[in-house]
Amino acid sequence: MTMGGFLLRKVGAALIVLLLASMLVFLGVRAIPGDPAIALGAESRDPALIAAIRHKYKLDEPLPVQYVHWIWLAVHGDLGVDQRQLPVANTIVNRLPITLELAFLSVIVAVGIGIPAGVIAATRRGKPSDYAVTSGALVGLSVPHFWLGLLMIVWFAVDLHWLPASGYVSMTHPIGNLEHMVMPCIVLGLGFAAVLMRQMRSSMLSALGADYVRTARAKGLSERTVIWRHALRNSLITVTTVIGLQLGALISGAVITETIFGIAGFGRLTIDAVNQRDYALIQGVVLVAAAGYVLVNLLVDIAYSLLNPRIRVAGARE
Amino acid sequence: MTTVDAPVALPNPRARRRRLLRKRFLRRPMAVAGLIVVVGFVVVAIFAPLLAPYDPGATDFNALLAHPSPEHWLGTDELGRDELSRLIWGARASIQAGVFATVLAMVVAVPIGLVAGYYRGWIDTVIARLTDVLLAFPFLILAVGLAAILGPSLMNATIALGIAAMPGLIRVARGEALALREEDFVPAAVANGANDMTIIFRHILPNMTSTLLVQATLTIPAAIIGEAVLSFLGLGVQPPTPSWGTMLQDAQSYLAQAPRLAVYPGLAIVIAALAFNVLGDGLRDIFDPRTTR
Repeated sequence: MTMGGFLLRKVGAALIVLLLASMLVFLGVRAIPGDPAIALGAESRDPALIAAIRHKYKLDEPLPVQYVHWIWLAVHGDLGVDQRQLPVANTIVNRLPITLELAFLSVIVAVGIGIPAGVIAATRRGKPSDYAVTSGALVGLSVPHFWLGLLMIVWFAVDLHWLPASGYVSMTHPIGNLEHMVMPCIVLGLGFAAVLMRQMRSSMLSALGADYVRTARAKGLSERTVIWRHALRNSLITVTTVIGLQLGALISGAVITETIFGIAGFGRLTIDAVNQRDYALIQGVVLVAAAGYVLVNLLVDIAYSLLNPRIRVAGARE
Repeated sequence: MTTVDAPVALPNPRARRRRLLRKRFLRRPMAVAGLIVVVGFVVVAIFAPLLAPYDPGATDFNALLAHPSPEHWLGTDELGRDELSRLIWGARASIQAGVFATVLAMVVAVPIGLVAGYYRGWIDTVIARLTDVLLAFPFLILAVGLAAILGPSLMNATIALGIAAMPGLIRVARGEALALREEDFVPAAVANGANDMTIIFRHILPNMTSTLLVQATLTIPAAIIGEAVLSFLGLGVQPPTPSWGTMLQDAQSYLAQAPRLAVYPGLAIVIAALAFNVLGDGLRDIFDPRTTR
């Protein structure tokens, strides 16, 4: 398959997934008990006002018409207004950078710990360091982030007063910003590191058994070159996909991490939207989360095929 | 009519395999320990009313945030409720969510994955896209949405956790079915006049039990943690019913006065999840000695 054809197929599949996901979001929000018109009318019971709101937001139209109207505006960046009459798109754009910073720093923590640990475990297979890393990862998988977050608050904020327990400082104050971000991104990054480490260990083990590694050794390359230049490079390809697939877990983790550390990001916004039964906000937030997931995985797929041309030709499906 | 004596003395291949697996299992102390802890948690969950020293909802206003003592081994919470009794009752919500979410996910995902892997072609493509759609909703967003629609409860949290586990299980079942459909027993069954349903459910499914067992053991701890997260956020078990997640939520307000209240429920979650994870890893090694170490 040519690169163009491959791209077209991948983008097409992503668009179909997005379309179905948007329908699911739309229907899901319609299934929430309560009347959005009353909610938008600030719980007013005036029938004329409710009817006017209903008409204005096209809530009196049949569902398919409402859906097309909503998705048409959404494509143009208009996600409607929330209960406080603020544009949902603006709220999301304001909150998103905070969560992206959290996610980015967490991925750095995860990659910084997970990849070297996985390499060490694989190259010293069966030795004490392998057992230590493997057991550490198993514990990492079994510890809920939010509990780790609570413990860190107890130790580093309440007992030692080293770090602030909660809140967020904008990136214009880098030191304050990092102080507030250290605990959240460690909490979010460690669980992710455990997943990465396990993946890294197993793909590194299969790479070390592959023919090209034997060839590289036979050529007389040093063990360090064999591991870091040949085996590692090829195992990183599989690990890229895992990072993409873990994005959903990262979003879920961000929701809870932001709740514990009082960070007013995108995750916190999701919980607030549901607690306040703000239909337009719920709809917008979930749509953006789903779209983000689909987009990142599309990029990962494309990056994957660029790194490994065999995927384009043979296993384009998996 | 002649009766054929059952060949009692001849080694039955299935029994032999079972004995081999048991031997391999017993040689793994970690997996055995995992199993013991898992069984312990299940027993505690089932017999919670008999094991708990106090009623988990009984308040004692003379012993608010009391330190551990002979009366209250792990102390009491902000309402004077016995911490140990609440932990024991909390095991119920955890095990219930973990097991039911996994069963729900298996019952829906495995047949779908089997059909996708067995038939391939357009059915497989359609199922792959639908799985992608499901994957596009991170589990917490899904759970939050479901709680908004159906109302927060342990049941609805369990459903959300079950749905969240489906895409992964569909992929595993599909992968296994893709490999197993090429095995010799499939044409043999066709020659015997078996139809597709018989082949899928009588021949292919039984051959992937070990993989599914491992997957189930690894899905349960994820669901246990998921239940704690949802209850912590107020989207799962509702107070005053004790759950490890709600206990941690209560503890959050007393981190300075009584940090131990935040330690016990978390430790319970870690031990339960770790036991299932260790058991699952052990089972995987036993069924497929080539993988991992």
